[in-house]
Amino acid sequence: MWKWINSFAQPERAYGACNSLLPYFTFILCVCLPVGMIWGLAFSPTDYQQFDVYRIIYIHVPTATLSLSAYMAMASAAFVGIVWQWRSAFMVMVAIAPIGAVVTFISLFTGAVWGKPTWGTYWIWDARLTSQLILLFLYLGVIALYLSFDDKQQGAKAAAIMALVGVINIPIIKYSVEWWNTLHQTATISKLDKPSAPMSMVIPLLTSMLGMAGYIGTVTLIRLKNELLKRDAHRPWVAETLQKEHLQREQAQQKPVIGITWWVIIVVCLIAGLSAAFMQGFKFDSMSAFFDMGGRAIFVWLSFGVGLLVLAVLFVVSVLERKGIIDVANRQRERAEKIMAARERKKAAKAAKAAQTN
Amino acid sequence: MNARRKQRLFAVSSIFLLISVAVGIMLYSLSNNFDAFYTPTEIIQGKDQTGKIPTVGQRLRIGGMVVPGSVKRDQDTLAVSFDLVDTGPAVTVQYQGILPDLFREGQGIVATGILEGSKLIVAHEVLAKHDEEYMPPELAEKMKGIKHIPPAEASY
Repeated sequence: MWKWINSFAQPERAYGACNSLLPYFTFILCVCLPVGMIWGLAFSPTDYQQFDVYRIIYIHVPTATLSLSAYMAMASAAFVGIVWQWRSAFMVMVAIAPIGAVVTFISLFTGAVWGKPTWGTYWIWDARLTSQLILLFLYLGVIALYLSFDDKQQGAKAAAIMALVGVINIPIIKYSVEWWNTLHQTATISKLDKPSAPMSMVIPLLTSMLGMAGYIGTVTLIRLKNELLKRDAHRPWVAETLQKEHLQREQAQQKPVIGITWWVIIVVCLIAGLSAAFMQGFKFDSMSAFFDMGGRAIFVWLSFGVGLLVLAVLFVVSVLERKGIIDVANRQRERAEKIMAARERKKAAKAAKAAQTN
Repeated sequence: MNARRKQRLFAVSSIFLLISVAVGIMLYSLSNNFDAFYTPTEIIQGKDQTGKIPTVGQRLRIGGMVVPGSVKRDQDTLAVSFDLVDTGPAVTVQYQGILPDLFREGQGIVATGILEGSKLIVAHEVLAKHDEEYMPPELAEKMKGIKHIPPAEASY
């Protein structure tokens, strides 16, 4: 068991694990996130006191909750990296940090946009909001610390210590609404209690939370693969992997990471999920009433627009980054091959010369 | 100092700065919450533990429930006055500005302002507090007997 777990410390095993996990997380992302958000926006009932502006919950709560989960995942990776000296665990930490920062930012942004119409202010120095802002600083601190060292291993160690120290903030965020007199209300959904909302609201909320987890998982795997290739660009396993995945320059046909069967399953499940949402009935009188959101259109659409845009940008940047990293790895390999060829030629020439003088 | 040391110094000082800013902000928020927060009863009778009564002219934060029937609006301006209550006597709050959607009679409110008289607060910020419960309007009417009107149609 331990041996099996320990084998993932090897970068090539970690890379392989990323590839085999990627389809599952992509599935969760592509099915749950759209279903949960569309269901929440159009097919779940309105709220009795906030009316349609409450629909911001379907992006605010998933990002806020998972910003904490992502931090715990990052800190666990940091812990493994420090204690067992796994390079690949540090790479997991480095892969999660920017995602966590983006998700925390979205939770703060949507919270501010939601706070203005309902509470009457964008921001208040209340314990919940303040500790969540500190979480954003912690994520940024981990990223900055890692980048400020030339020696990546040193940087990762320093960043890992910061990540571990920051764990203290997680229970503070979670229980701030109970320990202090905050403007922010307590949790609507908790593991132990019955949720304080009917099922018609809780199901789409849980679905979009699951979808957000899928997003974090998918982008973590993409970024971890990037990080593994980048840090190990000079190692033979990278050259072998690129060859296996048909990513070398002379190989034209690129093998897709997620096969066509997966995409068929994803589309089928997405349609099934959307039909389940449709069956709840459209909760607005007309399309224009839907876009108007009971006069609170700007707040709802600003939250969802900015939130989804930021998520999309991080996704695209992570995917594009891969191309550059593969280029560098390919160039490294070609250079190594050239050097080896030159060495061979030199050796052959020397041998020929020796043969002549004899 | 060589480049590597400089870098480390930068790293260490940036951590230090971040943590101190974080702790500073946190303490600021807590002190704000603990010291200057009063309920209407505490304003008149003093805080439970310390017996401290706020002085006139003091900046404070007050939290309480809007007394039904006490909301008075000026016809021409955004000025509004209402009474806040918890378990004891009520105090009056005057405010000029846009009220949040959730401001209504019977709602929990947090106001920040200056104590102008022993029972009068001139607020510059009025915030609405709500609980973690969400439900469809029909259900709320059945369970709580409350019928809420959308903010756009509110008369006050």
